[in-house]
Amino acid sequence: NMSNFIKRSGDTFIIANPVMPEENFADKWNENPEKAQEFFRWLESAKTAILTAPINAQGLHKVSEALEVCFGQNIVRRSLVDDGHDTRIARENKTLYVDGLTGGLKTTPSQTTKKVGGHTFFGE
Amino acid sequence: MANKGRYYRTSPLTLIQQKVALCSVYKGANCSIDKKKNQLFWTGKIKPTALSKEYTVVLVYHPGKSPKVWVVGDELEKLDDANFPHKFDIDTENKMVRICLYRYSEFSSSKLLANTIIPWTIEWLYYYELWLATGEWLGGGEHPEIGKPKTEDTNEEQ
Repeated sequence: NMSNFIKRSGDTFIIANPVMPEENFADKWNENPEKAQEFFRWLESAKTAILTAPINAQGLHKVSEALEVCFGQNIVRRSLVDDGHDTRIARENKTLYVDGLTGGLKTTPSQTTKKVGGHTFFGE
Repeated sequence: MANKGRYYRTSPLTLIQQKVALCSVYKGANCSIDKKKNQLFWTGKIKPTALSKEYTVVLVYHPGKSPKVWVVGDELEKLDDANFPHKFDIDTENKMVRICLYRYSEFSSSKLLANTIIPWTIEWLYYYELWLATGEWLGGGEHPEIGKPKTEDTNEEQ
């Protein structure tokens, strides 16, 4: 929704300061319109990288690849590792549940969930 | 005084009981019983998280033996990776892997597949996608002794 906060009056861009409406955050754009064009190019690529590509990806590994493009590999992988650890701890604490075959893993029970009992992945 | 509960063992569940539980909890899957072979066959599509792929899972269970669980299909990746986690065996040609979910006594024929094997499979698929993303198996577990790979026999009920 970021573009909704940018108004145009003829060729003039207006991003009003919410606490001081007479101040226009976009005054430099009006002096140099290329800055505005560059901002809108960035906005479109950010929407694609942060929203469209991850939402369209299927598989946590594919979502991860899409997010790594804009956030970098380290922070995205660290987030996944943290989620994996938290999920494992939830199972060990008997607070991990499955919601049917497609509802995913959850840490709060509901009428449709079933607890994931303690077990040990084994084998090679 | 003797401890009467010490050697108490719950009765094995029948295949009908297993089927009823599977069908009531996991809608949309297929479950059948082969009476001649005394065997239950279940197949369903599992999506471990809202952002995950949907995987086809096949479960075959014969009372007294270890349930066999396969993940099958084109969604599987890195089947030729030497470090592919927690599996019995991999068939790269037919794109299927038989997965290892538990250790020895954690499952017995007195436990419901619906409460054990299926939730553990959903969890395995979640950690599998994390492994594809990070290269780490984050679900914990144990590995058999080096030189003694887990076989079907070592996992059967005693």
